[in-house]
Amino acid sequence: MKLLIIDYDLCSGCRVCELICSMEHAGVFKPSISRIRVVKNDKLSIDVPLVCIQCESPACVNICPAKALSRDEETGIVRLNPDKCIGCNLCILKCPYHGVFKTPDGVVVKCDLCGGDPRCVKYCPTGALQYVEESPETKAKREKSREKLLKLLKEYELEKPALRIARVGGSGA
Amino acid sequence: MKYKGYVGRYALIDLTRQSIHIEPLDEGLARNYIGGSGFAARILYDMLRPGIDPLSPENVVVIATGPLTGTLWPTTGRYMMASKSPLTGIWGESHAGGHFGPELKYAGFDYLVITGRSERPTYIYIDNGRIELRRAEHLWGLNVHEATDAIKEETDPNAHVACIGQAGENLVRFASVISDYHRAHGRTGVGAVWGSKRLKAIAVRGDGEVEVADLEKFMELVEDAHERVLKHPQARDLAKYGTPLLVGYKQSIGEFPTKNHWTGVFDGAKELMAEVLKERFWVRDRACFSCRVQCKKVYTVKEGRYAGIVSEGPEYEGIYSFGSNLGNSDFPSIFYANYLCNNYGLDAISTGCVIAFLTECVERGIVGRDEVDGLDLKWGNHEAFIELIHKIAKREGIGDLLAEGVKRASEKIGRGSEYYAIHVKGLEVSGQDGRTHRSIGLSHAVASRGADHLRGLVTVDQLGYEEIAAKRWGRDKLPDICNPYSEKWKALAVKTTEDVYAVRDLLIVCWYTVSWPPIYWIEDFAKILPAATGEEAFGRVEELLKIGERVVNLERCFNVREGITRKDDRLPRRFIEEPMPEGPGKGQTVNLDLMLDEYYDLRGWDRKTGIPRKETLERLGLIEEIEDLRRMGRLPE
Repeated sequence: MKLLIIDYDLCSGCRVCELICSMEHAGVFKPSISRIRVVKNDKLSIDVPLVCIQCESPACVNICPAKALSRDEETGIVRLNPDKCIGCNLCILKCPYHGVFKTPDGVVVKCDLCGGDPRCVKYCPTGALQYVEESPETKAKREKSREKLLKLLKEYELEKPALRIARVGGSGA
Repeated sequence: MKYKGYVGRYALIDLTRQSIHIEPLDEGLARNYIGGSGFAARILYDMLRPGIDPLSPENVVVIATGPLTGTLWPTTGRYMMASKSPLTGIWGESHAGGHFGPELKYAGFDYLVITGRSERPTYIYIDNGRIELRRAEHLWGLNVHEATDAIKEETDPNAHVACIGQAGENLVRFASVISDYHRAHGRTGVGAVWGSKRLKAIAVRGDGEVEVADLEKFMELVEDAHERVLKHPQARDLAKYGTPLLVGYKQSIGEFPTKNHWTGVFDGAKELMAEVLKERFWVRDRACFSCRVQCKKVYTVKEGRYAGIVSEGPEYEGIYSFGSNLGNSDFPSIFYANYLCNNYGLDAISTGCVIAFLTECVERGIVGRDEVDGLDLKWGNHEAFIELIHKIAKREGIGDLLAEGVKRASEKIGRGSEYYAIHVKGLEVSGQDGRTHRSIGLSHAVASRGADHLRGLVTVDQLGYEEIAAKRWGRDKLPDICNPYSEKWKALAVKTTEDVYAVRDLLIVCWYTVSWPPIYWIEDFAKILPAATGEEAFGRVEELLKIGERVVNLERCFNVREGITRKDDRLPRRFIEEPMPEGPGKGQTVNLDLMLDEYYDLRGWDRKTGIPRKETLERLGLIEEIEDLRRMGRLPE
């Protein structure tokens, strides 16, 4: 099994990940439907990529009332079944890492690691996005990365922008 | 809209009537001018009556993207603004990176045209196709950071905001517009035009998309393009150090303009080397939208009077203008000066240059020490320079005079100070010097916006790019074309380079990766444009060059209408008459007229007047322009 790990110190905020993600999933350049989003505090020059990190015990799976979310025990990928999704936003609100999004059309989307070969990792120019074999070291690294994310979101007041990027409750202001 | 790459609409915003019209993008405009600077040149030429006051409601601001903006081609975060310049009275244009441009397209607009003057301070909020004019009295008087914070709070925390600071409000003639807090539309004073229109800011939020014509082909080219950036050693250096990297290069060739362009060797340069900045002040790297170079360097200063700020730092040009050109090797003060400029909304180049001008005048006794508000103006005294930045932005005391730019300031001072006003057509000279690099001498003299380092700076005629130069201009031009101290072949090099850079500015992609390091060139544009737009004609290099040439000529016609002729295509006398005093280029001066004759011939412009000939304009399809010039009695015989 492999893990998606983010080194937040390396993200330069170029949003190539958003572009390749929307291209891969919809054939257009459209960050608003991307499964990965970079939230920014431009004043302080901070860039934080938000994406599902495929938790072992995902809050989204546990909270989903429609059983639209499930974790593939073999690959570790947390998948969303769009046919079952009722668009209640609970997964978006409950994910502590802000890894679930809504498109402008109200469709909930999340990363599926492109089925095991994430394109964003391949395209990331800085190595901020890494996809590595699971090991005690990499698991520890990911744990640290999660803590760092929570710290960054708090320190740079990114909770509100992160939720707005997810466009909870639709695309209007 | 038959073309992809565009989003197919533009908005006409009249601030006098407070009206907004949303119209479809004209296919002919896209076909003949592609985007960016081309759109702006066509629109401003058509809308502006010659002779208008740039700070009157009659001036127009065009804010434009190109067909690649918002796509995954490298460096497509660029967007541009143009208007008649209040600094020069001619063509005014400035580009910036960041994320505003792509967001404007995602919001559904290829470009905006802003006219008139609002009765009271206003800002524009664009949210997914909906455009709203909002009151901005409460924002007037705020600096860029404060205003941007407030607007994001009022609109959307993820909105991208372009705004002016106090300098634009106070009509400082070289005021900038700053987007995303740090990205500057610096040159030619478009910020003052915003100020004159009482336009404080534009905020944009967009959820839309950019679609390309042939996705498979486009992605194939994108993959290759990204690889080339990643593998290019100089692009890697740029990623590591940012544009301060150029300090070392420029010092080594004796072209690091120092003390108001007196010399090209700065004895304090070692304090400003990229490696030193990286070690002492660097915090992290940032990139503009879809860019693999990440040349933006975030710095902080830990001790001393300028400590405490974490911010994206000065580019090479800022280090030149507040460093070497002021005889100042104290990086913390340069960093702070650059920060202040971005927060007041001042062009960092012109600001440093007006201060350098005044400092030289004081050092030479042309201006008395009693005339400069009690400031101890001398080379390297950064405390006085910082004080002047505040005064310029607020137009206080001597700052009110400097806010007019070096040309007007020197004319007002008189007493021979004009010699030390280092400008072309009113635009202060950027961090290059024709004495040690002849082609930039020509380029500064002829560029449509005045002393310009972005529209015609040939980079491959020195520093060991012989192979590339041979490929572009023929092996028979070596070695002369790569001799920076020779006028030979420089007209050819500048002409081609201007045409290619003009196309670069239509797409719009960044100076870096095209101009330097030299990675992409016109052949790459001819591959990506048809894949992006679906227009096969854009796949022909000759056609693209013709479009580039058309834009260069249209901007020239714009300037000719304002009275520009050969007599204005001049360099500061210092570059012509005063040999470079030291360094590798010691003894060099520029023989401008030699290059000008050749340049006009290559351009199809009249040697005597520097005005495009009828046949030239005809060949480029600029038919109405022929009539306009004839009516004004300016069409060459």
